[in-house]
Amino acid sequence: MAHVYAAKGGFLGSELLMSPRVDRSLTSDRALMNAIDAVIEDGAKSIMVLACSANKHNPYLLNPYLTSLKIPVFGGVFPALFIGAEYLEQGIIVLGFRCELHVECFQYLSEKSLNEDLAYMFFEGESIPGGMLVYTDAFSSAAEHFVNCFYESLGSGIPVIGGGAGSLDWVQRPCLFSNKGMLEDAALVIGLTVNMHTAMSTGWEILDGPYLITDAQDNIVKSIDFDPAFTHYQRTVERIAGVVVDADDFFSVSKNFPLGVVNMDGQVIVRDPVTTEDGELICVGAVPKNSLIYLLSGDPDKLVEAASEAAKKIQIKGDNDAVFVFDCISRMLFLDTQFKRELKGIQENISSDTLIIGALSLGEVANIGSGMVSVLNKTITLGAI
Amino acid sequence: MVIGGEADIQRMLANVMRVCLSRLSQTSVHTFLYWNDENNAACNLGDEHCHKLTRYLSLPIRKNGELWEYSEELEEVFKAHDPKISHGLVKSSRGAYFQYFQIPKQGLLLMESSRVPDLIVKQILLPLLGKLARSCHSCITHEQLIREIDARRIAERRVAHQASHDELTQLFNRRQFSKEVERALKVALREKNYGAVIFIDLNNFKSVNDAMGHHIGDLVLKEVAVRLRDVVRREDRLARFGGDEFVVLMPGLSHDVDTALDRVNTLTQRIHESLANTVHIAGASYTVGCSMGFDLYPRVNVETNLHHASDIIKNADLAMYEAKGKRQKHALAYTPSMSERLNLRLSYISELKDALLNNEFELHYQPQFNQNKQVIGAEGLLRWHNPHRGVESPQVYIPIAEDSDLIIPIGHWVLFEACRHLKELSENTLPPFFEKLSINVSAKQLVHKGFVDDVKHAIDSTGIAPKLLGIELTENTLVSQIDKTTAVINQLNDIGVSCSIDDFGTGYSSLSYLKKLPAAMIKIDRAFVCDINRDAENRSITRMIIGLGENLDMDVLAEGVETIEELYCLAEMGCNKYQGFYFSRPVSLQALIELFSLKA
Repeated sequence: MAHVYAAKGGFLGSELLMSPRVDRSLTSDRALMNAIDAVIEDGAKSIMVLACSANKHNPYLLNPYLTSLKIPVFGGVFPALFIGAEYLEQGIIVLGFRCELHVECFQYLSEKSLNEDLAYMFFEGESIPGGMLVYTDAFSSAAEHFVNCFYESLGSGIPVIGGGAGSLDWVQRPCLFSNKGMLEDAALVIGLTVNMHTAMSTGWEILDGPYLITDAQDNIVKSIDFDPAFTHYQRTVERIAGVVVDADDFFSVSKNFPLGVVNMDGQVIVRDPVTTEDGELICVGAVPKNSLIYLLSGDPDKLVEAASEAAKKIQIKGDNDAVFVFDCISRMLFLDTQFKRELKGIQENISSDTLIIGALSLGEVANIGSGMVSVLNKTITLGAI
Repeated sequence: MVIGGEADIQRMLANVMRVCLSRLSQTSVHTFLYWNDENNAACNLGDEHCHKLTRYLSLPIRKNGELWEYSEELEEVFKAHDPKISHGLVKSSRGAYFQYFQIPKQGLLLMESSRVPDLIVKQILLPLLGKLARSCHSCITHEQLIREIDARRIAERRVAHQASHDELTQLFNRRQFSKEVERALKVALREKNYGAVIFIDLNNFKSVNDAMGHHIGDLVLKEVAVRLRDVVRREDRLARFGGDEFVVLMPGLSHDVDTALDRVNTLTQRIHESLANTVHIAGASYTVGCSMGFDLYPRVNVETNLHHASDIIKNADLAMYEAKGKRQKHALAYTPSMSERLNLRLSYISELKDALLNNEFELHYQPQFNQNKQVIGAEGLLRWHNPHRGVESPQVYIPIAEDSDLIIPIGHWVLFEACRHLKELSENTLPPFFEKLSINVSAKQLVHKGFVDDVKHAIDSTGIAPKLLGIELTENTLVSQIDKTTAVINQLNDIGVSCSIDDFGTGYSSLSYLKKLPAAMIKIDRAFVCDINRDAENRSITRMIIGLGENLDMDVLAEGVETIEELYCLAEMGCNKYQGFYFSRPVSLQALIELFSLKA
């Protein structure tokens, strides 16, 4: 695909994508609307909107505008964004597409059965997309269920990447941009008209295990090896890593020692325990009962290297217009000041003509080894078009 | 007993397949089950009509955007699997690996992966297949049982429905409606509000049914039912009471009786308007219309001091009956006087029956005269000495007799009594100009099967000359069923019995009808004879009737002549046969015999 070479300082666009509009300030609602208007005026047929949660966008002000838009709009609010190697904790990125993308919006995820809605999405009289982007409300209790139902309808063979939107104060609020306004308890699925190839990696390594999940319900681990889950976790971390785990300040330790479920393909699916209650561990993502889990640990170098490897895999497949990235916020929280190395590692392994645009997400969505689309934690996922 | 405690086979298999996807890292999983085409459901191998394996469920439902349902790859793999072995591996032409496992006697599990599956997958699954088979078996058996229960429930519901509904219109039947009224009555008493029962009887339905056949009649009834459903309120209850009768129950109208009445009148008005609209059936149009009566409830039965649902329905029926009789367009509200009238009517019916048994009737005769005051005939008039009420006017009991069909046996008695009297008169000396003795015959009697045979039998058994007997039929009787009455009169003429048109001028006949009727005489109604000497209109009408008689070659007799002035006037106009108080009141046979003796 022919594309315009970036002039010094930025991506100027290609056959499919327009040059993104970036505002690095604490963007107001009015400024966001102006940016979208400008992109539409430039001839966009679809728009991706990424915004930082620090902007504190107001759905009541934005919804009348969003619902009046005549072209598809999609995107979300995230703790942080990045473009190239630049990291934004406030501001917006608005990216116009020169073609009309098919956007499906699924609302009230936790209130109703999804299967019927999903069974007939896309494909009826339409061409098969070359890839899909998925945005979910990370705090919806049905987000993972949605992703499972989504795969049951979609099937294998179509690359998918995506992530959970929201903010780090753990308060659920409208966080997805759509033609129905800003939504919560919802998901957006975007069908791309061009082929997308994907890559993902974690960089987390097995520290100890396996242990048997002897009791669990969805994302709540109740007992491990017949011991109360927190007790087992605390004891193991203290024994192996010499780190004291305090229930009152759980995440400050657990972010460094996630759990991992190893599937039949040998792939480690990371599960982030984020809090503890009544001796149980609450994770981001389901942990099946009777599964074997491992205690994982992270090394900043290993994580950065994993991100670079993923970028290399993408680049090997050829020149791209853009690479969309969903990078788990907990990687940033773990890497802290070293996070910039991860972004740099990605950029260094991707052609300079390629637009790198992404968000720090709360949970990621991607195809795992078997082809199944799953909710992932502490993972970096890339999709190149 | 079943995996996951799920009795629904699809859900049970879907749960198993999801575990295979997530825990065994499979790309897709497919279940094939033995299928019964007859009832379109999964079955256990060995069951009747159960021998074909069919794809039942795939998770996910697509691959590369195409539904597995239409997948050539899956079909290729299925055909390639060896049904004789318990498990195996097939590689598709697209490079995917499909491991298959027989679910003993139930079906096949097929799992796709992108690389050669690990041995561990087989090791995990094989021991579970027996349990999966048992789960499938239990679920299928459970579903079969559910289907049977459902079928039975449907059948029972159908039976219950049939027991409470009219088959043709699917409205409630009489029995169910009565129950509804009982229920509504209890609620009304408890909540102290009014309700109503409306009785609807279709007009003209019998003529449609008789003329066009029951098939069309049924379609008309169905259309009526549809229209009634459209106009009644949601809380109202509709029933077909049988034939062409419908009833509506209106519960919870109001605590105030006037408001309740208003609401009933509003609905009955809507019903009237709806049924007045033409009914179009099979390319033809029919007009039915209806008569309606209603009763408000609660209403205490004065005899029992209780509330009865049956009373409400009966009262509404009675009100409808009166509305029909009065040809009233609007619904009539029941009043207790209607019951009184009904009771009176019922008493009369009983008394009339007794009268026949106990010979309480008597025939009197009013002689008929010519201009020379010669007796030319007599009209037989029924008299009844009712032991309970004394001498009754026929105007009271004849309509009741006609309504109740007692007119047939009464008419039969009159016929034979008149013939016996005629015999007796003949044995004495009949006046020289005597032509005939006439009796009144009702429409019902005339068209009753065997009437002509009865007349013949009466003549033959008494041995009278047929020409001495005449029958009088009212104008309306003659024209109401013109073809039938013409046929009967012709048959009577053939045996020598002539017919007179009674009360002429008061009916709805047309000249074309009169031309057809083989009647011998026209009797001018007394309304046109009364004060004819002073009433120009009456003179005109009478003149016209006399002219008509001349032109149609029928005799003309004036009834109700009471004064000499009337007589002179009639004579001047050319009418020379008379009957009335001027000449004689109705007299007994004995008195008639004496009169004949004098005149002889």
